[in-house]
Amino acid sequence: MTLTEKYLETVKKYLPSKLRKDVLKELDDLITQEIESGKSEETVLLEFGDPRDVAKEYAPQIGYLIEPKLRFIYYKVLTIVLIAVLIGLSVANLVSFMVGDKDVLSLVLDLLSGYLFAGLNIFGMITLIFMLINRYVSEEEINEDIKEIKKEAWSINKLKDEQEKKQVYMTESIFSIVFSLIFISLILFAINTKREFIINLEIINRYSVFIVIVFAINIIFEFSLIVKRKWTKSLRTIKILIEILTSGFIIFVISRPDFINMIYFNDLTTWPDVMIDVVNNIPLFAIVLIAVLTIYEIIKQVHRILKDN
Amino acid sequence: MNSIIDSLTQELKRGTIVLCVLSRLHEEKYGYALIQELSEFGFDVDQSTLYPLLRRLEKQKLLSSDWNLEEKRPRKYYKVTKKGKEVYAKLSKEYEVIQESVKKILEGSK
Repeated sequence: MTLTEKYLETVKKYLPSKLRKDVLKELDDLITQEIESGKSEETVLLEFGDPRDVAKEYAPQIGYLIEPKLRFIYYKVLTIVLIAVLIGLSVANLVSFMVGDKDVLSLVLDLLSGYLFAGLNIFGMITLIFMLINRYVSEEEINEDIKEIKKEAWSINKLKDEQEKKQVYMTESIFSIVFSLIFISLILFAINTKREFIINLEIINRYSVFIVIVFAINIIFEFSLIVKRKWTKSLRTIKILIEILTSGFIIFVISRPDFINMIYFNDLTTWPDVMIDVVNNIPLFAIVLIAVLTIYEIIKQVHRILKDN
Repeated sequence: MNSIIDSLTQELKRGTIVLCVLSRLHEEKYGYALIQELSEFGFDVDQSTLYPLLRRLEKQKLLSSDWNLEEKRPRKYYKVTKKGKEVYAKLSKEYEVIQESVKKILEGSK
């Protein structure tokens, strides 16, 4: 990708889709005109200025429900969350069908009504969230951007390493959101079945509100990461705090006595003692694993903060 | 202080750019040639101001544009339309009146 192509790609993100083709063709022509007149590519792009301003000049109308630059993320998040929840719903209903809680008719009806209502709900909620982000967050961000421009000027170097960075964070965040949603729907489904389960559902039920809150905090954080598209020191600090909160809470829940539901292992009496020990120690293994992962994540973030300084 | 002056100067210029553009596009020109020409007259305009302006004037049917395909790379040329010429004639008269009044105001005489 040449620098000009990257520049055009950035302008494109801030343009409404109906203008894109036309404006980009023209900009490409205009930039090339100047390069052909003997200026260097970098000089020309610097003179054209911040891609955001260029896009704004070409499309000055305001009043979008969701601005073009957010729209790409909006569609992506909407699709991913819809797919995640649809998968969660299908799995939950199929499992419930297979264990004999439902007949075929109610399975089909539950699936259809579930898809419809979950779909509408998610569509409405995500659109609302993005409208709010659009109204309050972006404006603030734009102001910040202006400050930034005045401080260090919009720079070519920023453009050069623009592409690569973002994708990585997007995938990580999206993965984490999908995982959280599937996990939450499985837990809520498990509570609703009222069947015996490998873990003691009463404990899960007792803390279900907190579980949802903790996961919601994580999901909201990942969303803001996707929108901001950039790690900052304060984001890293918040990430560390959320990490500690989440792991602390999960360890707390797992370490409750009777976390493993022994009734589930009805035929345990026929098992060798070693196996019983293993089952009893599952929570401990889990706690160690979570602790190690958390410490790794915290060290990683602290290291990055120090490196950025 | 300087930034205030800069932005006020920009604003002051903004209103007259249309007039200059309409005046210089009686002959067909492509974007960068127009910028260079204005600059030769001592009138510097940013790319990010001029190019979108050309599009807006085209939308208002004051300019027309053509992609010239004869050169090795297609290039967009702009030219004043008939309507643009009429607007230019009236606008330049208005400008003279404004210029005259402002001059008097600044000199403090009626």
